[in-house]
Amino acid sequence: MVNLGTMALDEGGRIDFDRLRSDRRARVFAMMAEQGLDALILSRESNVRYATGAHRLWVAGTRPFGPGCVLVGETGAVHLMSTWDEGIPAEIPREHLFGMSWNPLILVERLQAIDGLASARRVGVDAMGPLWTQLLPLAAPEAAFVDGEGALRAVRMRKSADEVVCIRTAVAIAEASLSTAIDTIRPGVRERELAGAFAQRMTEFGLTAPAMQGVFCATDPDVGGRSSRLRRIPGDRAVDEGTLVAIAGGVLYAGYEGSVGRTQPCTGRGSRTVTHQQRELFERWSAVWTRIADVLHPGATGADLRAAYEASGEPLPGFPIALSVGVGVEAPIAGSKLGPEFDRQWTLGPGTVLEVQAYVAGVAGGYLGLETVLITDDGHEVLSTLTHGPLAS
Amino acid sequence: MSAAVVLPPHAIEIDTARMRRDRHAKLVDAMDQTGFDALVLGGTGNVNYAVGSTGMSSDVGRAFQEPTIAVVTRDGLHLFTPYPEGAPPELPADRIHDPLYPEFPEGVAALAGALRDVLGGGGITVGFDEMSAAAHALLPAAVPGLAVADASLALTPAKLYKTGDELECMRRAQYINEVAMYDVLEALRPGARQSDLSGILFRRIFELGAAANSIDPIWQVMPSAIADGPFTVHGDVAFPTNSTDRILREGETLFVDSGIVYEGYCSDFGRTWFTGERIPDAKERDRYSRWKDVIHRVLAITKPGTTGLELNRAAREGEDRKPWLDHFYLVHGLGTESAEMPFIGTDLGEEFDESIVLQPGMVMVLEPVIWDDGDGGYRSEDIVAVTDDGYRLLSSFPYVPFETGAVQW
Repeated sequence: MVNLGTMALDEGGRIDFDRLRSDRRARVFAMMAEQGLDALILSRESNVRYATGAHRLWVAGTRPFGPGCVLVGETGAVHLMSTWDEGIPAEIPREHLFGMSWNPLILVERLQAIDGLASARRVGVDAMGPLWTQLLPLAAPEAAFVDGEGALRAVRMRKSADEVVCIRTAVAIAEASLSTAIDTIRPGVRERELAGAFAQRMTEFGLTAPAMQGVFCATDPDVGGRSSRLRRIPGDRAVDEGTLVAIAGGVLYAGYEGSVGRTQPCTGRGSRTVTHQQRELFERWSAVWTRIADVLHPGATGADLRAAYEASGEPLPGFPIALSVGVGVEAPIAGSKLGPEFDRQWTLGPGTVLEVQAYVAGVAGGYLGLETVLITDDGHEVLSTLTHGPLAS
Repeated sequence: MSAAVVLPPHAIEIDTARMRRDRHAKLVDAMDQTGFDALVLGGTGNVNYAVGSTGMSSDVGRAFQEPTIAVVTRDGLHLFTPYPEGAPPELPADRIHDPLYPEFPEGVAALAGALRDVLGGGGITVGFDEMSAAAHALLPAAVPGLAVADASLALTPAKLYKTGDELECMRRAQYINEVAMYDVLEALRPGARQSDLSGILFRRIFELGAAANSIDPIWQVMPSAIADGPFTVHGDVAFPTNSTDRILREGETLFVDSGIVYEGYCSDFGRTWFTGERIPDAKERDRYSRWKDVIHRVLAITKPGTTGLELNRAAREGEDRKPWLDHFYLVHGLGTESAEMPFIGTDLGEEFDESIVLQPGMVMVLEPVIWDDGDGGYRSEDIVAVTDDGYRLLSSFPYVPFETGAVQW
């Protein structure tokens, strides 16, 4: 049994973060060698964190391309854009830090100073911006800039044992935070207050940034298929007594995402009334989950997950039913609008970690459940262990 | 139902539909100037500006995998989103589409199909704010005649001047942020952890009606000397560094920084606080007073027609040390991004600062820093909107513990 606490670091019974980072770095350099990449220039924060271990300032949402780090095959060096060394692992020497700048031409000069980049002939990038299409060649004049994202994603999708412990820890914290949000549900509570309750509980574990702000939404009765789609953005809506509230949230521990989702009835103080129709919704959700769980094993593809969901007779929920996760989300591997052929390219293997979610709707509202799952050598382990509450009992 | 949002004093009504119409008209003007046929936008702040839709606020590692993408044309918008419930009410159903996944070759093919459907064939010039690696590799071949341009050439001039609706959104965002900070300040006692302060802030902003938290809140414990803080490549002060579960101790000096989102618009809160009940000493009062002097000198000439270089020089007048951080700026703009144009005092240089001419509707966050190495520093941020004949403040939080009441600038 792994102890998922955050203390007792001196006993050595915790995650070996030095080993975790050196494993990741070695895998990235091995990928570069396999793909014939002389250098890798990464912009996406999750890629940068994976490759370098740097914990830089968390900002919500997407942001434009910039050279966040540079890995050079010839020297084996990791160069990181950071003006200071706080949050930066010790294995990145100070002389391999380069400062941020508002002036792209100054950044180009800093890239030009990186040993081995100027002679690179094939450089992988994880994104590109219109301005950088013109500027990057100034730092690597001989290079072709190719898609490095696909190969890096494949590396990230295979988790080491240390990485899995990070995810287990994140899931445990997400469950605690979700429990607090559940306890906050009462008639008249506004959806956003539930988001605040979740976020504050998360900080009790020392974390200050979520994986996502989360779903905290009253579900509506689905009559004739008109409200079959789950609303996932919480708003000012006050929750009524008896309404089913769908909640899902995720946190980041050492950069790793752990998420969980449950649905609970809004009941008054002391009241625990659950209707037959609400229980029926959970049973339908449970039936979908059972079918999906049957195919959560090595060798199955995203298309198998989609087929299992559809075989339950429930419509797909309009969002992916399985996401591959690690340092952030890696790919929507099943149930996206890209279709079954897209899903078929993703084969589950030991060390794959998925967020699997299903949603069913009826006259009593809807039921959302989200589990984090580890694919093992011969099947799977559901990492989220939180009860489904009164609807399941 | 009572209003769920706390409103600042003398709140004026916001017409969000008018705000979105005005922004689209400005983008069309900017597209005319640049000769763009369309914009394809995936940046969260850019989509917020172009569409006014809401999506899931999330870590960047998730945001790119469930992106909201806007295609802006002269006759309107197309929104490709995993969150159709966040689309503005006036956007017709046939303009709200399934999400695109441009991180993947299959998603790029779908994006190419969408662009052909929306824009037709032939030579088209499209401004992009960013491209996935797959789109960079595959999109030009998938859309024959596509010329890829830099969307910021159209976005920047449009976003630079705010309408009355936009300014009121920003004032409300700032007000929510400031009201929440009173609770945080109350909790800033020895033994509080940085993460505890973040938790109080998160709970309050959502109670008060914020749509999202936009940045990991910063409660950085500042050293007296740069050499006692983190190593920096430029030799200046390291700021901002990450918050953790660090336990705060009596009397420590904190540089505080946070930002939230309301109707797509960002706040920016910056103050210098002490843990516990410490009374500032004479040197600390002097630094605060010098910080105020910088603000006074800048505000004295803040009106239409003044250049960024004039503000830069006014701020530095009589100062031995440049009164802001070397990797940052004296001024940054604010809007649907937490830092956008105008930037003044950056390493873009004096010529760049001189090219900035203040005009009504520009919003500036002033963030001077007074640093006496060996003895510490003072930093606060205030937000001003340039008006027809001067400026007005969008921030109002008191400068505790240096002043007890509001400061009349």
